[in-house]
Amino acid sequence: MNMVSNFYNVLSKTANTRPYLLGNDKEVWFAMTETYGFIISFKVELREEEEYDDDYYELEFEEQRERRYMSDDELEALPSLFHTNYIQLYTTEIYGCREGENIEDFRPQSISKTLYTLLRELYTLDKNLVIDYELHTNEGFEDWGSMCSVGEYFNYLFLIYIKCSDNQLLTAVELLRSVNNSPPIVSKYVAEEYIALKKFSDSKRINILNTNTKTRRLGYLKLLGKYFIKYPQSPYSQFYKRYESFVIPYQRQLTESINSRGIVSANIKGAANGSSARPYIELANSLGFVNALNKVATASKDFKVYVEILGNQKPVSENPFLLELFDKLFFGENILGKDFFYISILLEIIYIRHTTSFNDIKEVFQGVLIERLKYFQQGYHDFRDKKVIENIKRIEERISSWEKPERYLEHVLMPRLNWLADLHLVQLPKARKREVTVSITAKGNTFFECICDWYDLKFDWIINPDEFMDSYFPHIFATTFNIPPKNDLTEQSIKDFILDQINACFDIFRTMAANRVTLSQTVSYVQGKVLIELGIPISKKYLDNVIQNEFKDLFVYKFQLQFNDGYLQKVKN
Amino acid sequence: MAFNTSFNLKANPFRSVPANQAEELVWAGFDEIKGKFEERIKKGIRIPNSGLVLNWGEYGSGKTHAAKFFGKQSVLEKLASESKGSKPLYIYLTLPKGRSPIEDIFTAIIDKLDIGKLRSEVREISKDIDEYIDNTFDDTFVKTSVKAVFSIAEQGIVKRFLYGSLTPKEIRDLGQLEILRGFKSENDYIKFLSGLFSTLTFNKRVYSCVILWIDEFEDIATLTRASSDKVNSFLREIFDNTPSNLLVFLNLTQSPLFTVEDLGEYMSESLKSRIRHRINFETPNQKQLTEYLEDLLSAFRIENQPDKSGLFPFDVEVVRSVFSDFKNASLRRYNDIFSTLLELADIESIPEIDIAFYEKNKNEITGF
Repeated sequence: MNMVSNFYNVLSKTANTRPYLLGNDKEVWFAMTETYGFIISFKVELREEEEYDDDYYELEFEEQRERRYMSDDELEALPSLFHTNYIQLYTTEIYGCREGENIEDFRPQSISKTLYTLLRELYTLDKNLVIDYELHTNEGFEDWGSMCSVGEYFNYLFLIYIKCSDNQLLTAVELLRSVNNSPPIVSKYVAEEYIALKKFSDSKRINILNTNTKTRRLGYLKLLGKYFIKYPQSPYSQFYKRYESFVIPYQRQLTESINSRGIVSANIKGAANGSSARPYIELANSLGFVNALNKVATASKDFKVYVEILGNQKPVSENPFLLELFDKLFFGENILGKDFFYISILLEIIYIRHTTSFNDIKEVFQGVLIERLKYFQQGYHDFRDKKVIENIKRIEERISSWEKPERYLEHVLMPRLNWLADLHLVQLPKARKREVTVSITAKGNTFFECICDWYDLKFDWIINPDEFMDSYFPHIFATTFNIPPKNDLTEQSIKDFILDQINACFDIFRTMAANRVTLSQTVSYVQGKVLIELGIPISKKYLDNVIQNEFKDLFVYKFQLQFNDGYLQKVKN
Repeated sequence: MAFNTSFNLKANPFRSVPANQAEELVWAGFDEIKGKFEERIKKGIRIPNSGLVLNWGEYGSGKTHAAKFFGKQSVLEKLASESKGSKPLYIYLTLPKGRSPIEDIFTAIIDKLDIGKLRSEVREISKDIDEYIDNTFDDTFVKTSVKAVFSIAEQGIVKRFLYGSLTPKEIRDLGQLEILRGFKSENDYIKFLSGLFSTLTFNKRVYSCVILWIDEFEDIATLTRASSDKVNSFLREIFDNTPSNLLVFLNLTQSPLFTVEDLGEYMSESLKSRIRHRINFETPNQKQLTEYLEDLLSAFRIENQPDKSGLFPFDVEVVRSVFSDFKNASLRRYNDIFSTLLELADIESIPEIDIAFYEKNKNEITGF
């Protein structure tokens, strides 16, 4: 049966609406609106043999910029004239409509979450149904689905391209009905900025961590923290070997609690020579956890904060491979912040599939990366920076030219999947199996949906997440891990706690310079303490603001843009 | 340029960079910091131990100014006479940014030295200098090259020898001094400098100590890892080889860096153990700012003005407002602000800078 007429038949049965046309002399769009809040459309292409048929002109498609409902005659003529290969499904949000929301009763529909919910449903229906999908804003694009006129506003929309398969179409439309009955909504933690249409910046720098298939256990990074507690400084020439000797005694704890993949072990002769631990140290270097100045290995300024809290933490478990809440907070933040491109896409793939396998992910991962990188280069709105585009292009070329993607992807995916498992965001089989199944956990669902809130704030996918991390990471962490706030907290008691912690930093992170503490260390330490001890997520931006305004008589605040860091001094009077 | 004499000032006292003329370098306010430097230098004049002093402060807090001020001959002579010792030999340099930092430091030091003057000073006071050199150094190269500095009358030859630009024939001609080769390794530079410093401060007779003041030490963070290791090893070696009478000041900006908390992390442990003192250039409070202004203005007065405030031509309210409007600004920023106000008042021939004038011109100062 002809796709176009099939499409119309199906829709006219389920949605009580009439299709309309939009087009010019180059292309014609056939669309049906108000199908459970979604718009279903497809570009119809003139059948080649009919190319100069007079009927085409009789239909008067050219310059059809306003929507025009089709007459019965036209509908009848349509299938014989046109064919199509895919259906486009989308819904839009008009920029500016957010201003009408209010904070008390905040329940706007989330465009990005709707996209991923639909993708998940469509995937369940038939895993080959979806051809492609996009999330973006569209300026000057005629709005088909809303009563608002476009004017100065642009649309924020997603697009899903699905194959025209006769038998699935009806089910697909049914899906729309069910998603529309309870559309996913935007989380409350972003309400203020969502309503205010706050602009978030994106440096568009793509950060990717260097990984080796061995580096699967975040517990080894935790052990690096323990190592630095014991040996704050070690000659770099012996660092690998000493770290390896330090972690080897923990082998049993790893095999008993998880499995033996990624284990650091001595060589055959039983001696530690550092080569087994090397990939983990390289990962730590890639994460910026280690300094090697004057040929001495020390913890970097960021990692020192973790080492400090680790040293004073009363662990729930003695097993370093079973991460504590604080470990998850620190590693989660570093991994998401420094590997956002890979991690967010990996989570996205698993989220859409809910349960999948390592092999399936391996099959699609490279393609999704390349598609996304192409999209990032398209320049939908503010991509004018040539250098940025060139960088993205370079990454795209590099990924496209992976020589043995099969083997390479093992090094890319295995560590990341296992980190996500260590963070309890995905589940992997404990025992070795030929087919590694991967499924997203409830926490993983929440975590990914929180990232979707960021997309809604940006009206787009995110390339570099720095500003979102600074604004919201503790919030998405607290939401994901369901951390309850302590009872009887007042704004004042929280601020008092913050002040005590800042003062403590002057002792904890003392350096050779007198009366001075590095801002990033203070902020990250206080943030961690407030979340772990009080159950309150506070952003870096909030803390910055409190220090600069409410504590301005207590501390001198200095910030240097070139280092993206600053320092505090106590005011002496 | 004519300056409004009704301000009772010889010139605009506020500078954004330290003066080069010795007479224009004045120390105003901040008695505590000044006292710390004086105390440290006096100790260096009296006691033999070598040591390292770190001067911390943000950009524009006065570190370079301090370096230049304590390099003034009159200041050093005064400190020497107060300590009843001979004066220190002062050498100021900025941290070299090139690929061979040790050679660059060596060259910068040699550039600063007046070899002829040193030679005559040493020859005049220490007759037994050759004997000292022979007995102190066991390295032949150090022995002969240090001796050469104090033996060769022709200064051009000495400098060219130090810069490594003598021809092999010219080196051979120095045969009677047993100089057989020129400088070859970084170790040669360090050992030579140590030998030179030790000789110059031998028994604290000619010079009580050598003050090596390295400015912009924060640039170590911009060097390659190899170069920053070299800078560390230069400092470590120079201390190891010059156990007495060497006082090194390092000016460090309070800057956070990408992976380390501050510049202190760039210093090796052996160097840290040499630190004798840390001097902190804090952001001034209102009292310190007021004292600084009074001191500075008074150094530029044409005549005494018993009937006027020490802050004249600034009204005390202006100082208070500037402080509260630009809280925690650096000293350089304050200098810029007061300088601009003074220049504007000069242009408009305003006799006194009051709060109304300040408010009116605030945009000019804030820049927007």
